[in-house]
Amino acid sequence: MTQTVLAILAMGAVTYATRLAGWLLLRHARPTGRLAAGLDALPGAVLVAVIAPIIVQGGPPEWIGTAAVILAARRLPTWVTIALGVALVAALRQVQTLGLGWPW
Amino acid sequence: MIDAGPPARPSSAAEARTGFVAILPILVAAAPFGILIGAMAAQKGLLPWQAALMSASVFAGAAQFIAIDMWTSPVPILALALATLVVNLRHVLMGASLARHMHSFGPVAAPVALFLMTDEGWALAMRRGAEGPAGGLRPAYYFGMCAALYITWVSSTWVGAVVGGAMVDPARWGFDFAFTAIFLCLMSGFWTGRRSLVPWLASAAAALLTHALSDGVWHILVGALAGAVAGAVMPANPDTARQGEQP
Repeated sequence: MTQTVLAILAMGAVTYATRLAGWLLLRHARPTGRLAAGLDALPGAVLVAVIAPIIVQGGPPEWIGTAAVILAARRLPTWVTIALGVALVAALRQVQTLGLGWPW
Repeated sequence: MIDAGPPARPSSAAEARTGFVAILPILVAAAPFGILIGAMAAQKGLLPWQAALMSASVFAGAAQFIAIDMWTSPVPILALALATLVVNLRHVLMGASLARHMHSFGPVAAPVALFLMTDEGWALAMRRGAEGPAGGLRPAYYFGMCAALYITWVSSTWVGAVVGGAMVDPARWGFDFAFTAIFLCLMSGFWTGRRSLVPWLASAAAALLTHALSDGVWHILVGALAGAVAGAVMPANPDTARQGEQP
């Protein structure tokens, strides 16, 4: 019980430290040039790094779902896109479970 | 309005509402993911209040997902803290980039805002800061969206831990894919044309290689750094080269 709470609080403390550190370093700086370009590239790079292995490790349902979400993301509202992706992946997994096999 | 000059600055309440509306689709997708994490925590023996405490103090889905996966008895406190640190090291880079848009945050608001910084909230805040109205990123907008995500996250983990064992396999309903779908949607907001592909492909290649070669979660940090470096060293776009010089 105590161990569990200690572990949770340690995780929380470590996480808050990571959240504060970057801001403490750069809050008075106004990055320009290469540093600014690197920071501009960061948002997309973080998101890609988190999901790339998840997508690659998934199977055909995840790959098709990913393609569908990429196509829909800039055309449909976000919630529609996410709902479509989830429904599509669920449906494709059902097909997989039925053992019909893939046409390739 | 004819020649009314610059548009009126929206009230704080209006800004908070705009932030809430911006995060709403993410709330809908984050709730099932929170329920999933709560259910996983319950299966590992955590009580509902402990699962909620973890969400309230850590508030980072990827880190919690990985920590609960490696949860054993006795609790490996050091290993859990270290894994959490590695997964969340990207926050250092994120906080550094968000700092540019936080000049209107006071000495109390800024540390609280950073406590609430998640991938999703940060991504929306960065977009707001880059293309928002004259005021850029304002605290009301930021707290409007991040507080909503925080409340959703903590309560959905608690619900997940309570219903825990009763839950059927969430993967069967595709709920685990909601996480990927959210991130893909957030990415589309940062697409600025083909040039975006350079840091993205660098990040994907570095993350996949690291993931294949090492256990754990270093791929997140390595991929993020590779993408940032690629963005820094690629030749500047003549159309937007001057943007970096603006305050």
